[in-house]
Amino acid sequence: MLVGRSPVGAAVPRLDGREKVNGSAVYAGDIALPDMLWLKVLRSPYRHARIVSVDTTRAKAAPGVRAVISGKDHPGLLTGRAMRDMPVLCWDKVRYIGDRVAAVAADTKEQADAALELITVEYEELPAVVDALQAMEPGAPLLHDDVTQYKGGDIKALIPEVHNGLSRVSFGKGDLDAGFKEADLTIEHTFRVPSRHTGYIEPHAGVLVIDPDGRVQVWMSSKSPFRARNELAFAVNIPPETVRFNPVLVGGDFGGKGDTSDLPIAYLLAKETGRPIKFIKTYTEELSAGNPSHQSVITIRTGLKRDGRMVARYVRAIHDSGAYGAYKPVAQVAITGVSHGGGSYRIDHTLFEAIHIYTNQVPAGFFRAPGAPQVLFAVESHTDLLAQELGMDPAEFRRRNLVLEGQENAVGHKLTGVRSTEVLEGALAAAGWGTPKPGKHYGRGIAMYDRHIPGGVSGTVLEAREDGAVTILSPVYDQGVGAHTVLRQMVAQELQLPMSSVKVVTGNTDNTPFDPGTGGSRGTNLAGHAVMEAVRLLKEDLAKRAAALLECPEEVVGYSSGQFWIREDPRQSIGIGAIVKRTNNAQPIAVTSNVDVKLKNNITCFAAHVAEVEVDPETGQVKLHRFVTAHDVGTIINPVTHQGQIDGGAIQGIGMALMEELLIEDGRVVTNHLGDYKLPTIADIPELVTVLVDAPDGPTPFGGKAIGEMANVAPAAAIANAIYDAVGVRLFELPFTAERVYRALREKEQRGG
Amino acid sequence: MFPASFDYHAPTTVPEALRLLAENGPDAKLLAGGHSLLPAMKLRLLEPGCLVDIGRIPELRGIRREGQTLVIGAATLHADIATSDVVRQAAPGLATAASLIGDVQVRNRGTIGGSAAHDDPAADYPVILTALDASFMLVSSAGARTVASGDFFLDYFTTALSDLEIITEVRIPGAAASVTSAYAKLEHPASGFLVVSAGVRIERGADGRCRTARIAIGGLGGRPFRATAVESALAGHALTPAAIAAAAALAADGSDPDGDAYAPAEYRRHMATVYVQRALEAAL
Ligand SMILES: Cc1cc2nc3c(=O)[nH]c(=O)nc-3n(C[C@H](O)[C@H](O)[C@H](O)COP(=O)(O)OP(=O)(O)OC[C@H]3O[C@@H](n4cnc5c(N)ncnc54)[C@H](O)[C@@H]3O)c2cc1C
Repeated sequence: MLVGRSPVGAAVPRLDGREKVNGSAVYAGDIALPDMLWLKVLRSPYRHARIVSVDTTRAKAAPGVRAVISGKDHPGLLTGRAMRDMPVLCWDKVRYIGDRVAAVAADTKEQADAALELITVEYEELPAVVDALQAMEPGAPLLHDDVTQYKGGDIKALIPEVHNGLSRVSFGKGDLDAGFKEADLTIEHTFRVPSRHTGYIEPHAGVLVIDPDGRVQVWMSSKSPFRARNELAFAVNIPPETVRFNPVLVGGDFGGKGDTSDLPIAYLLAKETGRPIKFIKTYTEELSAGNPSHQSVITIRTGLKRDGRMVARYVRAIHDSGAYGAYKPVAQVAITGVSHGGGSYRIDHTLFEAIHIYTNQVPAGFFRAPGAPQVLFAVESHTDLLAQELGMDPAEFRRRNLVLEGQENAVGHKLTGVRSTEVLEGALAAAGWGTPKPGKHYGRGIAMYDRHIPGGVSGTVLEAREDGAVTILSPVYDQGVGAHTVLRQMVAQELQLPMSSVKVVTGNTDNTPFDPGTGGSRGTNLAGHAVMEAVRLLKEDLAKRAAALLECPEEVVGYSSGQFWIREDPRQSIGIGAIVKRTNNAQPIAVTSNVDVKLKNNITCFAAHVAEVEVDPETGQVKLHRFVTAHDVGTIINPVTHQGQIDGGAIQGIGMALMEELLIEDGRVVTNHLGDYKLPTIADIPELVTVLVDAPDGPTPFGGKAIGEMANVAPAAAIANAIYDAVGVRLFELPFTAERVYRALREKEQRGG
Repeated sequence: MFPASFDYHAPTTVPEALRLLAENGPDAKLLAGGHSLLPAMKLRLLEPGCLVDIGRIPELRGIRREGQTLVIGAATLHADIATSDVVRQAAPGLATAASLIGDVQVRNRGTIGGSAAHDDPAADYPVILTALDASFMLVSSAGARTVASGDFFLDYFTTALSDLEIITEVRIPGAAASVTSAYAKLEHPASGFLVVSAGVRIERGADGRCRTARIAIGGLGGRPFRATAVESALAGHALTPAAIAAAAALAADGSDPDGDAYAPAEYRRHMATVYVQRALEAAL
């Protein structure tokens, strides 16, 4: 455990805080280049239609308009974060209301908007399907002729044999049939989860210019600049090296900000006009044609022994991918949250599968722990239903089934450093589980979740400067999680330098090594190991130089707090700045690290939540009074940013439970502005209580664990379970709006319950 | 988005405002707090060429008693109505309604006249003003007329107001010790506008019984719904909890609400009962 005034563990305020508060922070929307044109996109008003003709003559003649293009001018260009199945501009058919059909570049936004109305598109409407289960029926309208023809997908995951099938992933172990035979009783439930928008404050924005030498320069609200660069290059058939993404701040992401948005179209228009092109999506475009989370139907079946042990489980998640798989940044074109089908419990015989289906709706993408919030709502609601079936306290039922130290979880990973019990008991104690409730119609509910800490490749540049300071030139675009703040603390700690001597600069895609972008709770782990490796390389390099200057063998050179010295004679020393001046003409000495951090499946982090709600039985309104989250956290590198992830995550999960729903009626998003799409505000949030179970044995540098996706996944189930405890109704569909709860209460009344 | 460009005038008297309205014809629009008009202009749902800002006309602002009548200037802010002791005493339901509108920013800009003229079916004032039997003083260059709330709010975003008229005052009768009022609202979680709400006005006799009741419900259609069945059930009766519950059960009788995804018709009808009951309880 690190104590005292060391940088790691200190409550350092966010590095980007000041500029964000005083307004000097630069986002893509702030970039303005001379002669820049505004891009606006014409979108399909039909769910499914053939494009017969496009007439842009009138639009081209409109005031201020410099170029108008449609898919007919650029047929066949496809894009996607991994698999490329989405047209840059549709040329033969449109597959959802919002599909891109044509685009205008004009001197002003208003002129571009006005010109869109002058484009005439003739469509021939086709039958559409807007429900994943119906889309799988053999007679349903077909969206894509052959999913296997698309590039960038993992052929093993694609399912051309399923009508409108996109992909399938599965997890499990043991022998499912044998497991169910062993069971005393088998219980099955089906749950439904609507689509949600990630709700970042900054809409997608980008600026693209093609330099006279052919260099494509981009400023874009993307948290994955390297991947977005490649995506753009593949979409418009240019070599990725010709593209440079330049740093800007990203105004929130939550999984939704890694794609290229309208960038490929901006490229086509820049090519045509020779001028810089800028776009800022409207929030209506974000909500109706962005990349929201997947609507899901989740069926879960468990084989149970009378003594409360679970012996078999089958989970099937049908995820509605919408019109394309393009927003999923993995070759499996899948969201893998179904791997949590077993929850935090031991189950010997399991099969968890997720099936992704095409429908004529807004294409779905990644949202903070992709798929897990949907699946955990089902899993942890179902867990309570099993306990109820056996007449057992939900806490006791969980205790009996929890994965413990050295045991295998439900997908076959033997876990170490397990703190499942401490986390559960910590949450229960803080919530006063079992103590009398404050009033009538109050209820408490538990839910748990655990996940591993992902690995991957990353790298960074670290420079020593003549003033004795070091600069991290980071490939990570901090989208608000505080990544840079934490990296700076690690470098300061490792080099024993004051925090003020460590600078962080965001690099571009030319001057930094590849990094996949923050996401999947991996940022601190990946970028952390990248800076630690860079520190090692820099120390090695500087020690060599120090040895030469001090005229001694390298082995006898020691280091502390910015000084290299001869071990036997500490009076002979030289500082980082002097080394830079004397050995490199005062030019920064730079090292570049490249790391491949292995995924450790045997280490997970646990979270337990307890919600306390009050239900108004007359209106169905649910008031959340208290929300406890307990986390198994490893070393906390920065308590401020760490708590931010917990509170922000919990609020997002509470929003999912009680209010968020992207309403799609017949393929049309009807909650298309923020006055209709309810996001939680602080007024909706009760006291959040955090319990931290820490032990410095996580896999990140200094023993940290993941936190980014630990608090947002299980709140919905905790709240569902609390509602049941309060008024005895079980909700199988999110969110728990007043009317849904009211309806469930009336149904219960009619059943005489 | 930015609104389309427009001319802006800020008259300081009502006659001047009327003249500007007449001169600019249908292209002109009155601007008060701007909290309904400007959003519509930013979305380019409206593109008036000329705005006549009546928010700076002193005679349109203020709250006063004229005997048994409470008189409120049309440009009086929601916040001023919510916090006025005169309103709290004379028409407590109106103060409550004002305090439940939007958020602090909205209440510090929006005006009672603007809200009435806009006549959003999810707005609070039309409901409580109908319950309070308010009337509107409408002035044009041709003269002035008074229209009762029942004849003023006609349908979704439709009132009896003509393009050349200005609401100058809202007049609420019956500011007497025997009269009380209340307002209760089920808010939409996203917008804060009403899903269902109820405004009630109760006049009691010397014996403490209900002499007359006026009850208006929001969220059941394009205009505030008068719950006449509840009104007659209460009139002449002692206001016991049982009597209130029995009367409130009739709240949605005769209504035919349109549902939406958040609140289907059936839910609205049931909430009408719940909120009428809550408003009645609050009034007593
Ligand atoms: C975020 C937000 C939340 C809100 N929440 C609520 C809510 O919960 N409940 C609710 O009831 N309202 C709500 N509103 C609406 C708010 O109360 C508006 O202020 C009100 O509806 C309009 O009043 P205004 O003074 O702003 O009018 P303006 O927007 O200036 O004008 C509205 C219309 O009235 C006309 N007009 C204005 N004054 C007069 C007059 N004296 N005579 C004739 N015509 C006139 C204008 O020409 C225009 O057509 C909300 C608004 C916002 C922006």
